[in-house]
Amino acid sequence: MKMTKKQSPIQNRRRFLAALLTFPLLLSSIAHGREKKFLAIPSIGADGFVIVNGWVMLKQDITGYKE
Amino acid sequence: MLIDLNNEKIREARYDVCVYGAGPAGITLARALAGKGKSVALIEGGSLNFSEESQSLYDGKSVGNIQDWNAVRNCRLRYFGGTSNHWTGRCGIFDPIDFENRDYYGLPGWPIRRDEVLSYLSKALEIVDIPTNALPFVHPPLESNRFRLSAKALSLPPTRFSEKYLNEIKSSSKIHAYINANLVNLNLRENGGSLAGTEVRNFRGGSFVFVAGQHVLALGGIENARILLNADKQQKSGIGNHSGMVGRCFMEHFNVAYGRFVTENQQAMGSVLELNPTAALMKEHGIGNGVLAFNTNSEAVMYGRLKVLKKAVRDTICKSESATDISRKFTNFDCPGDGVISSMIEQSPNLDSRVLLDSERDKFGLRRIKLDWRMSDADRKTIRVLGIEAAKETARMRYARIQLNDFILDDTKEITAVGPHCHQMGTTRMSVDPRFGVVNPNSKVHGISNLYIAGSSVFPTGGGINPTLTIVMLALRLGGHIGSL
Repeated sequence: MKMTKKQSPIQNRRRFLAALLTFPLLLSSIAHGREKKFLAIPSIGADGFVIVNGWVMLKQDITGYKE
Repeated sequence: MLIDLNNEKIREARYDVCVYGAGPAGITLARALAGKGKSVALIEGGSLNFSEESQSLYDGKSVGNIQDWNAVRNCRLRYFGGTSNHWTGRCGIFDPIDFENRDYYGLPGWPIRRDEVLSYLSKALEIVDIPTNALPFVHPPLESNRFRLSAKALSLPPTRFSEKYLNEIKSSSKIHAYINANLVNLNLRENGGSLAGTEVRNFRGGSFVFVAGQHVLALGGIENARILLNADKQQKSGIGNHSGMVGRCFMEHFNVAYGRFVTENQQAMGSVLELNPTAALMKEHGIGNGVLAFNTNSEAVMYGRLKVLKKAVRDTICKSESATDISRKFTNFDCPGDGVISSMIEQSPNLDSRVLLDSERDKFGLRRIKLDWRMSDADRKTIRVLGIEAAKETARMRYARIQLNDFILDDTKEITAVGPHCHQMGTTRMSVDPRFGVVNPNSKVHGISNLYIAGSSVFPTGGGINPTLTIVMLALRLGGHIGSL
């Protein structure tokens, strides 16, 4: 029989809450990501920055960014 | 000596100098002149405490493209000590570029040198209770050629000029401080070249004449212009308004809500990170000065019946980087250390941004204020460039990632989240050439031999720092000038 380490009720509750919130977000994020378009403002894109939903970021910080 | 004009029967008083307005500029100037042996009347419209009767004299209208009732009435306090009764104590000195002529502003800049003003720095710091040995105005190092860390000092607790200097003034043999003494008119001599005296009224219907060798208006950034414009009995457009400049170039510091940020380097961000642009960045883009303040949250605070549950969820998500990233895709999700960006942005001198007079009159018959505060295209450019450049620089330095509000990124949208910092400047600007200003480099009104102006209304440009320390330094400088006459 496989033995597991017993966890406190508080730890269990936190894991449950994290899973409860994260899982649908994760699914939605995947769906959303498929349609995501990166908005590059020319003056910014030229010197290595892009803007995504108002966030100003370095190109290399964005997963999946293509010129 | 303290004199309540509501209880006085005198009808005429004579002094070496009359100073109108007992705020930081007026009190500093009166003390400086007394130190030079001058007899001084310090004439304050309000009493020693706030009263609606006095404050309501500031009521007026706001009609510009930034209509903010606070800028007209609530920024100012009309009683002894003036606006120092509610200031926050932030002090700084203007940058060298602030004293340079900037062609892209279209109007002349400061006609006096920065080091001349700064020669009064140690005395001014003493007045506002900042240790002079702290070297508070050296910019801490930052690995950037586009921004600097802000250099400022706090008067903490903020010096209340009334609390600090009232007893000294009461016991002074040289200063007569009048309260409930409202300046209502400036009377020119027949040749129009100097003041014969002024008319001052109490709140009980009494009228008094003050005669002096020199008169100084220290009524505040809006009120100095208002009294000059209202003095239209002998000169139709008001006194000192030969070029139509009185009231023009009203400047504030814009308080723009830029957006939010998530912290990447907690140590670098601290509790608040304040950035000023470098002179090189300002010149490269032809923009003004300013401060962008990154205010970090210390803890997420939740409200409502489920606040315990909501806090537990948030705390749990903040412990996981990936969960935090995902959450941020859907909501404005902040963890401790993240925060919002506020600002204090220099407004360019703009002839169309101005103090006008309304047709409605106050209880003394003076026309009330109609404030036409305007943001220009030059101001919009400064706001947007500073926001975008700061976002890029904090991303490059890996201090924080910034999400800018849409009106910063999209120049077809109106900049809406903007308010005043209660730094009212420029309405009687200083200029060598009378065509571009109201006072000369000695703060004397062009064309009037014995009328001077103290306070931020003489600022030709507003810089990117709080103005009080400069107001105090200029008042000391003016005290030296008039004291030597």
